[in-house]
Amino acid sequence: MITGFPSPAQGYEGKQIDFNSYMIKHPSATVVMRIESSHYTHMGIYNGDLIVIDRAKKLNQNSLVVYESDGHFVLGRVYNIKGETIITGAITHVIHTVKDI
Amino acid sequence: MILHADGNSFYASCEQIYRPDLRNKPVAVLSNNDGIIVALNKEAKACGIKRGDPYFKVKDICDYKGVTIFSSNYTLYADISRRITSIYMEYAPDIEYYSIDESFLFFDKCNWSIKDYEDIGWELKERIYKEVGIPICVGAGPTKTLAKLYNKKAKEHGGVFVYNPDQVDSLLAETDCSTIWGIGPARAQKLLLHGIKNALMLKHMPLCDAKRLLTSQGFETVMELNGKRCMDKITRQKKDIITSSRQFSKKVYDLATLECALVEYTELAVEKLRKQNSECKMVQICISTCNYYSDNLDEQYSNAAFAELPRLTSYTPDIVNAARLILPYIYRQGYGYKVIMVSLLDIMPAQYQGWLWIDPKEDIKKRKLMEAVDNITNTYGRRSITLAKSWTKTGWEMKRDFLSPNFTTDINCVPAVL
Repeated sequence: MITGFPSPAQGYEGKQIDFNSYMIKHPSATVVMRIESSHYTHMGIYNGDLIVIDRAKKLNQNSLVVYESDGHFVLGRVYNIKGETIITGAITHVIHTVKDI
Repeated sequence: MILHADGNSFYASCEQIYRPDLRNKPVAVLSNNDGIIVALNKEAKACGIKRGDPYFKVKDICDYKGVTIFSSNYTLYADISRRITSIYMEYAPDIEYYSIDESFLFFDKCNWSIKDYEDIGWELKERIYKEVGIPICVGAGPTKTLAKLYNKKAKEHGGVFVYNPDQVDSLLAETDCSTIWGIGPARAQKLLLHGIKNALMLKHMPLCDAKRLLTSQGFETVMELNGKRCMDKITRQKKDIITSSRQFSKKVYDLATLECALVEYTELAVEKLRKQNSECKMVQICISTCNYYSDNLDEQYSNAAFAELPRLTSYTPDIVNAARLILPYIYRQGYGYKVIMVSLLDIMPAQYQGWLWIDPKEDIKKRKLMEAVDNITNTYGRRSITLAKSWTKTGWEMKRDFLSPNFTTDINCVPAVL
């Protein structure tokens, strides 16, 4: 039933923080992977973190990327990677969930 | 110009993207219910298996040669397909999504050179491989039939092949008629009897003969080989028969279970019908005991029946009720049924003006209900809302023993980085 005055919020509904638009520039080229290793803590990337990968992003020598090594996905900087390696794409965001202690 | 692009061994390629351990290894994908091989990559072909082989027949070879087998994962394929299509849309003003791995890109009123289209083709191929992870081939021609032919020949040209008016005849001369879209082996045989040995002779055959020998569809094919567009975007986009069928994972003996399955697959078919914005006037059902795994001890039985609907409709309950009504007429006790199929026929584009003798209020109510159902399905996924009749779980769900995780659509299934 509709009665009384219209809501003062009219026209502003649906405004929310949208993490998709914040983290995904190229939707057709973006995938998410999960870190299952403690090798990357020195980069501030922890076991269990989610990483957002943009396969369309232009790479440079310093880009942090996911690449294939011995049948696995691993992380690394482009300048450290040998020529023939298949690079999946650049990491654009790391999502770390803070755990209660 | 029209570009035709399709994914190479699409299902198998999808399965490999997020499996770096399977790079350059043989991979094959099974049909619904793990029945037959529907897709395989070139490494798997080299192992001696081919499309259409029943899985139980080649299982030993696959195990021995180390072919990795997958059940069909349509969630994954649809997501990959969606990504590819959105890249196509950056290039072409108009697209026909022909099937999950095939699209036509229309470049009407673009006066570009052959070189321009080659550049677009290569760019598409490179981008889709890099950004999505799927290898594709691209063909281009002034008609859909020619674009498809050039795509078929594209592999020999590195993956991109564009129509050239000076070379088309020599290409057609070395092309078998059965390679042409819409001709097929049976028609090619018929053409051969009339002395038409290759696609160039097909192109130059008198149009009246074409119509007589190949019906009006074949006539269109000949016109298209001559560079005259007959197959509009619409012509083949709207399917004139919609089918939904399944092989059960185990034999179904009782009418009640069969009816549940019938309701579910009718619902799916009607959903497809509404997706293409059409209505149908006839529903046909078919049940059968025959299957690949048959031990031939049981007697076989299959039968079909159809029901005409009182009018064109896409209202699920009406079509489901019609299908349920005719099932008891063909059901026979004592048989173990393995297959059920529902087809919707006599399909027309949806009418919005309504009919004089139908209560328009009732009609609008039905449409609104179906719109709501489709919205819920789109938001919450297939079968999130169904008719109560089909709800019970009865053990005839699909068999999918080798299903891959939904790497790209489910946060709990994303690939691991080690």
